[in-house]
Amino acid sequence: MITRLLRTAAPSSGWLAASLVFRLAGAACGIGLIALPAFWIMSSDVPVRPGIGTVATVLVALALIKALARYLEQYTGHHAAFDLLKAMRLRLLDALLPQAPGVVTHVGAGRLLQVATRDIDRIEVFFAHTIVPTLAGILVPTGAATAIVMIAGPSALLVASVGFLVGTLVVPLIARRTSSQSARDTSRLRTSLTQHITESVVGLLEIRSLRAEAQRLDTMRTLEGSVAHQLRRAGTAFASRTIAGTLWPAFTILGLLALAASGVSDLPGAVASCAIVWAVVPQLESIQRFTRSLPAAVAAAERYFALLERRPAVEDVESTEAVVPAAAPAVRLEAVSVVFPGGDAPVLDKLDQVFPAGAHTALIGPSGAGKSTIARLLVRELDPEEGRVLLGDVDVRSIPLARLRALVTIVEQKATLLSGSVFENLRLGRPELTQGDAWRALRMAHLDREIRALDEGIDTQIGTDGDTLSGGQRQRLALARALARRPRVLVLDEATSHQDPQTQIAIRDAVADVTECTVIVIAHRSDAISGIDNHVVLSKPQ
Amino acid sequence: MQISRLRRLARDTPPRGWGIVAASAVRAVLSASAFLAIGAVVDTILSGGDAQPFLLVAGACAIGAAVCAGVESLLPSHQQPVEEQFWRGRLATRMLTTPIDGREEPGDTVSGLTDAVERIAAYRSTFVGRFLGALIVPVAVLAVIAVSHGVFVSAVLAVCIALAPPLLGAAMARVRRPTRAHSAASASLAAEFTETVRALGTIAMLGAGPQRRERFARRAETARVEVMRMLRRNQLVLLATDGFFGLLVTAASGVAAMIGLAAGAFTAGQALALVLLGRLLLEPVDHVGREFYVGMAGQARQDAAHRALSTASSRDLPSPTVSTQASALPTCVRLEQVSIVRGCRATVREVTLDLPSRTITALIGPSGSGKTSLALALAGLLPTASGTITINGTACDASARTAAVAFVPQRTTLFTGTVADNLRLGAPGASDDRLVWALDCVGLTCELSNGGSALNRPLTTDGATISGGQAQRLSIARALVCGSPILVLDEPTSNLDQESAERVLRAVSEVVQISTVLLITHRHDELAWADRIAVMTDGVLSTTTREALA
Repeated sequence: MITRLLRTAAPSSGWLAASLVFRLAGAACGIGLIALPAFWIMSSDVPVRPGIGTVATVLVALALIKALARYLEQYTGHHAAFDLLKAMRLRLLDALLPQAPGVVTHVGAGRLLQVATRDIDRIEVFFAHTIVPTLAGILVPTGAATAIVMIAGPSALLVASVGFLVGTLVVPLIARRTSSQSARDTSRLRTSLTQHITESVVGLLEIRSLRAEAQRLDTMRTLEGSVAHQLRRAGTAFASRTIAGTLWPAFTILGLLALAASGVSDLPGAVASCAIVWAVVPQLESIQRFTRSLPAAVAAAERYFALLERRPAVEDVESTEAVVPAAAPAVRLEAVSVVFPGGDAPVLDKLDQVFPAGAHTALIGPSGAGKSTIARLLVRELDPEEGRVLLGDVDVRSIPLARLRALVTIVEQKATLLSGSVFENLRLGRPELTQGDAWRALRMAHLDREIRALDEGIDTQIGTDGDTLSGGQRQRLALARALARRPRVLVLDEATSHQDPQTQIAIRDAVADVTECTVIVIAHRSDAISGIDNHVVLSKPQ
Repeated sequence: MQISRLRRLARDTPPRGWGIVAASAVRAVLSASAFLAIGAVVDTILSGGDAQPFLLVAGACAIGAAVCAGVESLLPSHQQPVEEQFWRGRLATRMLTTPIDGREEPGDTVSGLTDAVERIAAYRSTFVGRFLGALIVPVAVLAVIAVSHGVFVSAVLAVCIALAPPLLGAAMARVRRPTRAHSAASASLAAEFTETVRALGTIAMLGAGPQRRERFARRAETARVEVMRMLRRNQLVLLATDGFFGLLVTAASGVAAMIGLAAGAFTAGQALALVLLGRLLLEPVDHVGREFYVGMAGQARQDAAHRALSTASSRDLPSPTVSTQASALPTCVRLEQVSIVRGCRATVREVTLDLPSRTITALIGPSGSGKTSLALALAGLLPTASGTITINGTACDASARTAAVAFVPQRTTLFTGTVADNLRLGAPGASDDRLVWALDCVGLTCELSNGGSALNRPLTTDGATISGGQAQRLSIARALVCGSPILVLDEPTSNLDQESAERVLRAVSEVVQISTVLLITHRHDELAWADRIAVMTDGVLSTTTREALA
């Protein structure tokens, strides 16, 4: 897993390496700024001691180089971060698009979004802001130890090494079990707290109507109390680590001085070593951060890779030899059975059904009877366990996915629109659509007059998920988008069930005028489909 | 940093925050003393004396400093929950007591009670104390230097440090705008990516995948070039702060030590101590620089919370209903000349309506005609602008109406917990028998039992474990447990299929034997269940009969 994680960073490894080099250079200058004066002070008797002018020049130069190195380290680090973020996002898109739309239902929109945002960010932070400091946190003490053995001899090296090892290996481990346990518990409790608050906000009317306000606040306080307990536990663990982290450099320095006091090391070397230890301390803090963030990064990477490796629920076909069905084909289901993964009872059980060519057919029945499943079979979001789905005489499995989804279009219960203009939304998946065709589709969806009344007409921005439009307008825009594709089969899957009566009537009228394709209207209530002559009633399989 | 800003921070500092400040100051003095002791060790070794006493002093000072550092990291974890409870409690009480109109988006309310509260608490419990502590540290170190190395050296270093804040402030101000632009560019790119993933299903069905991918790749490239261009300039502030502090503080203390040593003013030990003390002076840059913007974001959230709380009328929470009677007394309701104003629109105008005891009155009309407003006002959840509502002949204000009326919304909220927990909402002391009786009334006892006890069945908010119709009936049962004699149902069946809708209406017709029911609907086929029918058009009411509508 770790090697795969590392391979993820390959596209930005050059920039990361540059960032590391600059960080090391900066660290070296930082050490020099303290260690050189210390060394010079102690070599007062020796003729090597430089004049004040030289001292000032060297120190100023070191300070400036250190600043420049920090600047370049940050710049290259950000560059690496950005490249990595872009590469990971594109890789995820490339992996998800062939799996969609099935992956959304299977993995869940929420989990998908979590991987796309939080997990990718976490991996990015791990590489761009954790890995380089950690490597520096190992390399700098190693370099410092080498310098110490050269100027102060092996016994000083021993003392300093023990100090560094305690600082890198022992200190981060102090109370680590308590820390990670309380971090897990805190995050779990905070999730419950957020859940509780969300329910209070969503269910506000009921809470107030039933006068349960005090009851809800009490439960919230109980949850807060548990969070408080965990926070205090984590605080105690953190404090003990801080104490240890402050103590080890102090005692390393005192140990080095004790060597000099007992005559084992010579004084200038020992003092310079002390200065080096003192200057190295901040570099080691990054190792603590690394041990903290590694488990989270690995967990995030696991979820990310799992998505990349998922197998699509349906196999695409390359060949195009299948005869593309004639305009407005009949839709036929032949002995179709579908069982959802994890479910024991079949959703559809050896269903035979024909939706006549060019006609409008209503598909009704209670929820759970498999109405939407039929729609999903038509666009091959999933394939049936047994049986065949045919457009005209062609099995949908022999039509390439892109072609199939151009032939069959579904308008869903809740329209998904993208931010951008009305026109951009209509062109989604059909970049070649002209303004004229766009207006024709809007007219067919009985939306043209309202769009014309908007300030910028068809170029009006509709906001995230179309939130500047009313629910009815959103739904009709989705219908217009579907009609603009000139599909051979149009499926309305509960497209009006959450709309007010006026919208329902408007959409019903718009659909009634559609004559150039086979139309299937799915509804759970019979009043949504008045005016349609063909009825197919689906009941729950027993 | 202006004085007023500092005063503001000091005002936001809780007692434990001052504890952090005090611990920082003590730690600075002890660390500085440890370095002075190290200097003394060096001098003693050079003069051939016994260095052990000074080593012990240095060790003692280091231990003391470590304990102070421990206190500094412990205190915030004790203050954080205290602050969270204080702010969340007040904001939640406000949410539960202010009028239901004019509220913000639910998502904003939730993040205001979770994320914002955590940030406010982090600002008050961690940031302010650390910030003021970081300002105190150099002062304490300079004081020690003044005593040990003389006022002159201390003054020179003090001037260097005093120069820092104005220069740093100027650099930050120049950089802040591009920084904001930078995060805006990154955020809009992230938003586009999130949107693409969220709409993945639709995009795939429309065959727009390649188109969207291309678009995202192009925008990511543009944003990268843009962001890197801005970063090249922004990061200059790092160059400035690092170079500046490195130069003025570390280099200056090194040079000062060498000059003092050459002039014979310092011993070698003193000169060494001065070099080491230089790094202690850097603490404000190292720590505060990193946390500054996060801390200030917390301050902004606190201001927002203050504003929200100051507009709230301080109302006490109503006490929960205590009712043990199995069925309510006959209750009739009369609305007389009732008008309701929401925002600046009169949604209901001079409506007069009678709800006789133990009847179902259906209220129909197009959406936006004021049906829900009337229902909410009857339930005491909206105030009336004029007119009176009397229950059994007694005029009732909003809070009296809330006590007598239970409201079942279009979409029931289920709360995480068991069926029993959900039924006890509003009646925490209700007995199991009463819960079972309520479930019986709506025909749920058997449907939910599923092998075990129906009461112990776990539920989740998304209602994945029970159907929409069952949830709706559970909501009616919940109202029964409370013993409210009047039940208002706002389009309870609009999201249900025929079969489930019928079960809900059957439950209502059971319940009406002990309650008075107002049923809002826009489905004419449901009027068959009603005893009386009222039609709402544009805020005005007229009564009618089934035959007239047919």
